[in-house]
Amino acid sequence: MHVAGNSSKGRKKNMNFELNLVPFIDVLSTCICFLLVTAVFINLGSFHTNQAVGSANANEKPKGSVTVSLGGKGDIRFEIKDVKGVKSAMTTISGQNGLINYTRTDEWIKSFASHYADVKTVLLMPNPKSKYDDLIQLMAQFKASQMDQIGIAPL
Amino acid sequence: MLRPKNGSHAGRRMVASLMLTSLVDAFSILVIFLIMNHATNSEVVNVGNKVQLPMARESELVQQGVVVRVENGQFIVEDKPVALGNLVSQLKALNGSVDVARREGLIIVADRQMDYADLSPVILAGSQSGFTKFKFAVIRK
Repeated sequence: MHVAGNSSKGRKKNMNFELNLVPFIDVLSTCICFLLVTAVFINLGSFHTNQAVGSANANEKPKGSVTVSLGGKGDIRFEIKDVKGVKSAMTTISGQNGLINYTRTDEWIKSFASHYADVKTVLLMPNPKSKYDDLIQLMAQFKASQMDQIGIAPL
Repeated sequence: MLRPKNGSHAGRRMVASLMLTSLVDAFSILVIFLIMNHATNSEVVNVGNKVQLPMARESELVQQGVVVRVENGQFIVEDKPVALGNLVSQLKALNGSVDVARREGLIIVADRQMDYADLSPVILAGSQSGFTKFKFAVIRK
């Protein structure tokens, strides 16, 4: 930075100054290199489920819940428990070519959630051959309909 | 510094200056973006090279927890391979030793095509060890 001092001859002060940006660019380049090396661009998420430990009070009224059983050929059975006013307590959606029909399951879940908004509990009962991805997609569909208290039954 | 070819103008000097302001602006924005990206990734989970996580929209950010990876029938707890028979005892030991924030959550990392039969022992062992929260690692869409 160059600032002209006072001159005894009465000349005008030169107020122009120069800022050396080269060291600043060096620092920024170093920061960028470090952050690029350490950055993680894959956004990792997680699905949270709670497992019961057996602390439920015996005098508590049973809350409504949905039990989802996964069959071997992509079939899914929805069983509704302790929900007043339910017309059919069991619904089965057949699979397509051995795969789960996500479109129909999504429709059913959205329809159920819109009619019974206070039912939040879901219990998934997979079979040994159920794929992990299928479980995740089902959980995602339930979470999207605000049914977020999901549990998974071990085999 | 550039000098003209013509000798009659030998006294003139041409100086080319480089404008660094825009470069500094771009670098600053890049650094701020990378710092924000670094800050939002709170937990680094070792996924493994061969594991393809399922993708899902409705997921939350990964928080602290004890990480269990399931690969080819092998259980890897906190980057250490554990036999199936020792899984419960190992998780119980971890549940008693790590701090509270990590104790409550068991983060399960598995391939999307894995059968539930291979995953069920982890859930069962976690429940027996006292873990109440299970977090299934996914890739956020």
